[in-house]
Amino acid sequence: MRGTLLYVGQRTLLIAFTALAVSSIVFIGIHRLPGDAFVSERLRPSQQAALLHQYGLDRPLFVQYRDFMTNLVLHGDLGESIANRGVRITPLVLREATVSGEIGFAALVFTVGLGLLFGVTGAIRQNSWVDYALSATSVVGFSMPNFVIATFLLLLFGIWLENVTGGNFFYEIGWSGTYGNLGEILVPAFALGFPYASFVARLTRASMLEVIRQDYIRTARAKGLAEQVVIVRHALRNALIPVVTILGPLVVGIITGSVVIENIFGIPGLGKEFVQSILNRDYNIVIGVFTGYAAMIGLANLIVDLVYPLIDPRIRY
Amino acid sequence: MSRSSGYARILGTVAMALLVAAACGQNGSSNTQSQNLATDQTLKFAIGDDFGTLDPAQLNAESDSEVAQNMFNGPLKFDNNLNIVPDIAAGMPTVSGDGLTYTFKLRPDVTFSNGDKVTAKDVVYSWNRAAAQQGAYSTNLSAVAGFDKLSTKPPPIATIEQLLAKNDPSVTMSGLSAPDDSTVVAKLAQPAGWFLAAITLESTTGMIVDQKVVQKDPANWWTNPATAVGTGPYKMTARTPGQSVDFQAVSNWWGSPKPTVKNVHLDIIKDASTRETAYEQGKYDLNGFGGYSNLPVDDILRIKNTSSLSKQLLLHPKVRTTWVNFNMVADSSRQAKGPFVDVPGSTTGKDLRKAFALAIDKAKLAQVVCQGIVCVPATGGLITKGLKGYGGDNTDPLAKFDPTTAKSLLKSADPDGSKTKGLTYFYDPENPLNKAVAENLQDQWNTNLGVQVSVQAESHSQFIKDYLSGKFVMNRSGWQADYDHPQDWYDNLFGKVAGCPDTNCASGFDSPQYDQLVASADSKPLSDALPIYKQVSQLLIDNVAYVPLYYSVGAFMMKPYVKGAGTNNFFDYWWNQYQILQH
Amino acid sequence: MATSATTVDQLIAAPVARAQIGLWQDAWRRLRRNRLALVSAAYLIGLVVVALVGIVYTPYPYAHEGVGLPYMGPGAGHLLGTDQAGRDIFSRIMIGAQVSLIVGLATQAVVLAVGVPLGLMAGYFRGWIDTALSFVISVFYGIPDILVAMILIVLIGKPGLGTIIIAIAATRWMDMARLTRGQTLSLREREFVEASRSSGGRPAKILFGHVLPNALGPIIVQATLGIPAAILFEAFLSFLGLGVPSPTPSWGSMAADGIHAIRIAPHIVLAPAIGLSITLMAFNFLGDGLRDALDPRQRR
Repeated sequence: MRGTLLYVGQRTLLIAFTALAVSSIVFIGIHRLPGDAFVSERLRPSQQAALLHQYGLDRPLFVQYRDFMTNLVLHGDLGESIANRGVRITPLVLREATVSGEIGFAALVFTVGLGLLFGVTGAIRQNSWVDYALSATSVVGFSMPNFVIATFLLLLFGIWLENVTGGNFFYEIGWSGTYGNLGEILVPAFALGFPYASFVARLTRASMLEVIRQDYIRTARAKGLAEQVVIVRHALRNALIPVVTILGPLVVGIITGSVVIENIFGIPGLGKEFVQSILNRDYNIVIGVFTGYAAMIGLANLIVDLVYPLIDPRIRY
Repeated sequence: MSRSSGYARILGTVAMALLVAAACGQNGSSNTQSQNLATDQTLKFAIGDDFGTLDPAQLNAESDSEVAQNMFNGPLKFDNNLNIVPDIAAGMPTVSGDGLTYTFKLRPDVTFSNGDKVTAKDVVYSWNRAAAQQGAYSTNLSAVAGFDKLSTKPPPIATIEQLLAKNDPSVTMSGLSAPDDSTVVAKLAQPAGWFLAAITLESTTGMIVDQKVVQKDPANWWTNPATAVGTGPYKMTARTPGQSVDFQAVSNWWGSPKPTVKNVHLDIIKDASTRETAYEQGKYDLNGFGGYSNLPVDDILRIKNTSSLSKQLLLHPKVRTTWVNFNMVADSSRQAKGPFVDVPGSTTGKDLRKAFALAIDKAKLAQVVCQGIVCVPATGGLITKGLKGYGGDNTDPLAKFDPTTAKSLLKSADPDGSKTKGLTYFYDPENPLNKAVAENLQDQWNTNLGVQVSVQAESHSQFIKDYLSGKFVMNRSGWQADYDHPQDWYDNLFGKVAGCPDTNCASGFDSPQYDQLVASADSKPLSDALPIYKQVSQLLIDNVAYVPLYYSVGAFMMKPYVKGAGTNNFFDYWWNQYQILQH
Repeated sequence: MATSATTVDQLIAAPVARAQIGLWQDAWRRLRRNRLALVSAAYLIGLVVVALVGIVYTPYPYAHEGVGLPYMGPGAGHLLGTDQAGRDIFSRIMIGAQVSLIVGLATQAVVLAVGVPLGLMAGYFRGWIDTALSFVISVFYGIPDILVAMILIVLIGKPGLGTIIIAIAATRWMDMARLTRGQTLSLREREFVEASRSSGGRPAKILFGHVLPNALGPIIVQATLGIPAAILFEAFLSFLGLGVPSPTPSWGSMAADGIHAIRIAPHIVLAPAIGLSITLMAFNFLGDGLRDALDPRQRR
């Protein structure tokens, strides 16, 4: 236990450090971008200068960086949006990270759930038509850009189903409140998660195939245990190990996909904010979003690493 | 039967009859009202972005204005039909014979939402503050004597506030005074026929703010409900930046009509199609209001073909014109040079501009880009159809489509094609129409003129800054009128007053003739000024200062149970006119 | 003594070369038996043909608006219908194929040109090159590549095919370098490399003459599988509006335009969507087939 706590502590520090490093890099990189966020067909240069001054954007870069870092480390304060005054970034990023996290987690459930299902079934029914069908489905799923899957789902649930059930039975575009509701999460999460299910499926299948041939499985069967028990209790557990190893990259992949998915479905998460703020040259938000992502990924990786021992008792921290 | 019981029965019957009569009477008198009004008078709709600012001294975006107009008032206001009528003032101002002195008498019963009484001093304070801050619309007050003395490089907002508290002359206009608590006198430096329209402009520099509250947080007082104080029928009660904002009707509001809708809830949804879908799913009562009437064309086509939805659709012209801008001036401050520049002694620049103008079939463009629904070709000059100063249908020669002349002009001005090589047209993609227009222009210039023009998107903020500082050779340009007066166009787009050639000027175009005509027209009352403004328009046409494209049409959706909602060309009707019926 | 070094080299190279040729022949045989991979290859060849044809001929000028009524479905005159501006979708699909193929192939070319030499050097020489490379790779390991690519594109400023290729390649070369490094690390311990080195063979010769040919298998597979990834990436970027500028259509930007009109004219988004899906699938099947064919563990 103590070892685990120590490990978690170390990792948390590492996450914080990485997040700071990332935000530093982005801070310096972004400030070299041309253009700034102050808008208006009618804004006069003196007016703009006053606004720049108000935000401290006319100070030397090093001074701005020092203030930014101080605020971030001491107060967790990511500053204020440039395009929309009065909007503080830390609560914004926290809120949107939660939303992205929701969708991402739901997508992960789809990825792992479907992947495991396909993989295990394929392994059990190796080389049958079921196996080939599932294999093909997962490759198809992986090859379709997630916005294509999203489009089909939109067509299916948003339009055709609507006509059949005379109203939105299942799927609502948009987002209610801060955390949305289940109906709004399911379709985007599926579109986001399904492409990666094939990775999990393939890995699970291969690893299951290996495991099934092992001696201890034969022993379990010989002992007379029901096939189901054999599969779930013994085989699956061990087959999961390689899957857990790719969870980290899976999370990163899901984040990549979320940038597009959030834009299509109008979900107010980090991905949508990122695209928006980059196009608006709202530097402060871009830095905040990047920092938020770095923290999220670090956290996700930490959780994965903590789950690992549950699957493989040989791992200890 | 004893006599008492008999009396009791009669009494009882009479009493019953009276009760019934009373009840019927109740129903009868407020029959239409109470029967139809919903119990929950909450209005919900979505806007596309959070506020830039709601501070009248700084406000300059249409979307901010549509909300702020319900929070603030000035001496005068525009009614639904765009007539100037008294608001905080008791009546229209009296104007001296020489047109230099305007006297306003205020109502005695006006209060801020926090109970503070409004006096003439508040008007003087608010106008001085707005003028001193030199915000985008501070020029609305520029006719007042003493405005010119105010520094064009203003000190920080907090400093201005301190100076105002001491009535420091560096932040006050000498022509503005409050002889008593209910009188405001504005002396103009010279006659200005547009002055009343300018200070009536809703939500901006003519509006009144509460000095006691503003002083405490001069830059950000408007950002949260506790300090966002105004005289309007609604006040901000809750706000989650970037997400939503709530307003409530001010109880015992001094003005009229008294608000029926008690709560207004706004959500911020960036994507136009998502806003529309949410509206159609019943989440919102209106769509397109709050300054976001740019529904995608595809959605409008679908709505028009759906009988249940098409009845809720309102298409209304907006006072916005879009055109192509050229860089016409080459000097040291303007980065862009380009072949369209006017060189003394040569007409090449003008000929090329004309060639590019005539090569575009505007009707075809409007058809493709707007499906003929959300815009109409601009054939009557820069000023939008419906406004004073509009030239009349099909009067603008630049709106013609004449590829033959265009090609011959091109041949003579640029025989080997070297001048028109490598041109780029810039646009901001935030409004999807802009991209469609860019692609169509690209296609038409290629097909009709044989010139390859690249198109490049630049995000709005950078785009505006760049095009006003002369970075582009060709770009999308446009203007939305603030009030119905040609001065609003000609003083802001071209000429010295706007800042041309080098400051705040898209084309750089300026000429002594232009400045003279505009100055002369500005000083006259409208009826005398119109013929002169017409000459200004002709001047711009002769100089091929623009390629006219289209006048915009806004799309609004309203649920059938919302009564009183609507819009004129300039602004949405105010919320205190709306009612939510039972549904 | 140069001569003996050369001779030893040649002596070693010969059987290795023979073994290599044997490996390739084996792989080819295995690949030929993979039906899915063959069909995919055929499709891709067809796609290349269509793309090449598109250079000189398309049914309609692809950027010309109003060649037909807008939002028309597939039908007479327009094989795939028209889009919201009345442009012919089939013509635009042809050009989009060019864009996708160019992006896919060019990014991989850059990735190979940058990643392979760096990986070879890092794996062979170790030392500071290896440390530097590992450091860079680990820093960017956790950062979603789309974010980096977007910032790069905005930084570069001028949109265009070149910009996209650079941005995508910049996020992808690290995987190739890491793979090459890993291969080099294991190969450098092998006897023939040992022998070559001890007989005084120059590093460049060893790397390119011995190590690289043996590492080529996984590198080719990675490169092939990287093509659909690059195409997908480009589609994402175009979808978000950061792709090739007008008038060049890209399947991603066509899809983005089409999504808005999905309820009145679904064919506008379906055409590029299906094109993308099938093309990506074909590359994936082909890459998988290559990987199986080149897998030395399979001895069939």
